[in-house]
Amino acid sequence: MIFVNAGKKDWAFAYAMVAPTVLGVLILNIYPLFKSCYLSFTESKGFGIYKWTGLDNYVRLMEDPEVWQAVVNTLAYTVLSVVIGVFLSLVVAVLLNEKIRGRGLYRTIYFLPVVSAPAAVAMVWRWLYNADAGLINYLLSMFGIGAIHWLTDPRMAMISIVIVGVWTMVGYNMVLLLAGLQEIPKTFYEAAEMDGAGPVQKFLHVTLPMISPTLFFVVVTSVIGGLQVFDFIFMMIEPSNTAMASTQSLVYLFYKQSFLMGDRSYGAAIVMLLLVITLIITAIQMKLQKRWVYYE
Amino acid sequence: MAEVKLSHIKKSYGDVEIVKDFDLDIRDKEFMVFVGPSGCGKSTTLRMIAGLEDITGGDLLIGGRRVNNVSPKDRDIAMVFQNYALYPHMTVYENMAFSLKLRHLAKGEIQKKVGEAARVLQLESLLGRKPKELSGGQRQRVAMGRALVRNPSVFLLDEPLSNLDAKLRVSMRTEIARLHQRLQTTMIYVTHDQTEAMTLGDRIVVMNDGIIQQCGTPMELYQHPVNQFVAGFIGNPPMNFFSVELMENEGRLFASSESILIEVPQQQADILRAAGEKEIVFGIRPEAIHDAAMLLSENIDIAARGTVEVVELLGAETLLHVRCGRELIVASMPSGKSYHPGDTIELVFTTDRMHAFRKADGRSLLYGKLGGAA
Ligand SMILES: Nc1ncnc2c1ncn2[C@@H]1O[C@H](COP(=O)(O)OP(=O)(O)OP(=O)(O)O)[C@@H](O)[C@H]1O
Ligand SMILES: [Mg+2]
Repeated sequence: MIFVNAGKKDWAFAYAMVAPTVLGVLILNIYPLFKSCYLSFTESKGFGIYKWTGLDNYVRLMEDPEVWQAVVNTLAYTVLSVVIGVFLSLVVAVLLNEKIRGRGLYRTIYFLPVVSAPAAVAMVWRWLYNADAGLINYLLSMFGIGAIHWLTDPRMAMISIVIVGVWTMVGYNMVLLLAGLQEIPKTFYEAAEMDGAGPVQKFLHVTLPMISPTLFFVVVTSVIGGLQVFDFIFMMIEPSNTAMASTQSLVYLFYKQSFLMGDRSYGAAIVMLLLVITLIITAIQMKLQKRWVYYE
Repeated sequence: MAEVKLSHIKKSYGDVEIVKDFDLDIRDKEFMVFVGPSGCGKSTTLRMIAGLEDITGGDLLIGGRRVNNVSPKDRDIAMVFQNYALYPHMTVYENMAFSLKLRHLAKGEIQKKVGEAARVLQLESLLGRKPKELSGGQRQRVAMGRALVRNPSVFLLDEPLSNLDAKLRVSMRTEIARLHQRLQTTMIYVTHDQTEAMTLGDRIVVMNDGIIQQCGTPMELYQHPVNQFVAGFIGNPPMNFFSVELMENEGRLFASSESILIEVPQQQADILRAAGEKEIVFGIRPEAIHDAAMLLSENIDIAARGTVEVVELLGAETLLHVRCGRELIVASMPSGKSYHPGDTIELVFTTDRMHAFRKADGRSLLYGKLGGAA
């Protein structure tokens, strides 16, 4: 309202206030984006010299089976982690929104993975997953289940990584959802109760629609996070691991091409592919949200 | 159709007793109003009837069945919430149909019932809208409609009009009264507005501090309040109270304070003598106070003399705030004569309509003792 009759001075003040954020976005997000886009149309000649090669990198990308496997891996990870992770977050949030004893403690416990360093997390999980000396296999052996090669079996490795990803994201999403749940006025539940709704119907007809804006935000950010999966693969799957082919994501492949192989131009093209995939998926979600997200 | 019986109902949160020994029989088809100041436990009592709040002690019977431990949906009741609690993601139709859908009624039947309620409440053109696209009054009607479609035997309404502006409140009040006549259903209505209580209720329960002060028809409460709290709460503008001393003089009983002198009528005087109190609280409604200059009779007793401080023109009547020494007396005069602040005025009380309360606890000394009309 202050700006309705704002003079030049007010506008200057407003710009000064948003400048740090705008500058940050420009330098840290927008500039690298254009730089990557430019690089993806070049060939690296070393010593920081790049030659314009048009669509060469993209042609190579199209014919590279490793890229397409990485697309499949990335999408598989994203779908699994988002579906399982968001579902679990919602379940945990709803349970911890109830008046139960020690709910503060539980909330803290669920949030701990969020504030733990990914490297440390990966280390602990590597130990848990260890086929010979890991805790999980030890526990399974007590039920007579033989050793599972969590991280080296190509069919298991993806699932193992999804489990870690879900474990780290549940806490964060839970906090967001919990905040959303607490925004729902109690009278809606009381009205639903008078209307004859049981716990399941209250969840379906009150909780879910009313938390849908938060849920949508959680899904979108989780999807974007899932598409960018890198650290757990990097830290739990060694390059020599037989499961690498079935787990390496687009970002991991970008890292491999850019920094291990030194081909930053090809790496940039892979990033552009990821960007396009992210944009398409996000656009689809924006379109679909009209069907299930209710804004007050 | 059902009567509701509250038998020694109690409610405590921890050690704090919010509702104390609430004992009340609500008759079938009756319009019962709970009225009282904020925080006196009206909503809590209503919510116990609804089943939204556990009952700490006592028995609640609806239609002769003890329902203390019956879930809200099985009590055959419907409730209208103060903030309406309309589901924001559902249309008006869906809001009204929701409870019927949960009961697995056939689609045709749901349509019929919702259509009927919509017609009664003039919501037909709004069925496709979302609550946020409605005005306050329309939302209120949808909230009524949602309760209506279920055809419950008891309607519970918690301050349903308090979110509406003054004008709309009056017209919705009339609509609710009309609805009650049409439906012939038991209604329990919570409000802190005594005008609503007086205009709507077949009977009114006045509550204070979780205790029923008095239960009766609006006229009973108005004419024969059981204590000073009810006397002050019912009636607008509120009753005037003065601390007075009782004095005998030649077989006549007078009530006097620094600025007021009234002769107590014979019947009341006998009762007050028997009560044996020296100092009492004297009560008189603004409607029972007159301007001596406007009375034709010669034989009048001036109760107080004072100066007009504030004049409130209400149309049909004029309210005068008259300063008489330490007392400020509010008097209601028929409109006609014009008054101005600073005017001196002599006031006459219709002493037949006096009230007297014990100083110690505010109990009425006359209640139940006056024979016939008083
Ligand atoms: N969950 C609760 N825990 C403790 N005390 C409560 C709780 N709910 C209500 N109370 C107390 O109970 C008393 C009665 O509350 P209630 O809501 O019944 O008042 P009310 O008569 O409806 O008032 P209002 O006119 O303001 O709605 C209040 O003093 C309130 O503070
Ligand atoms: Mg209340």
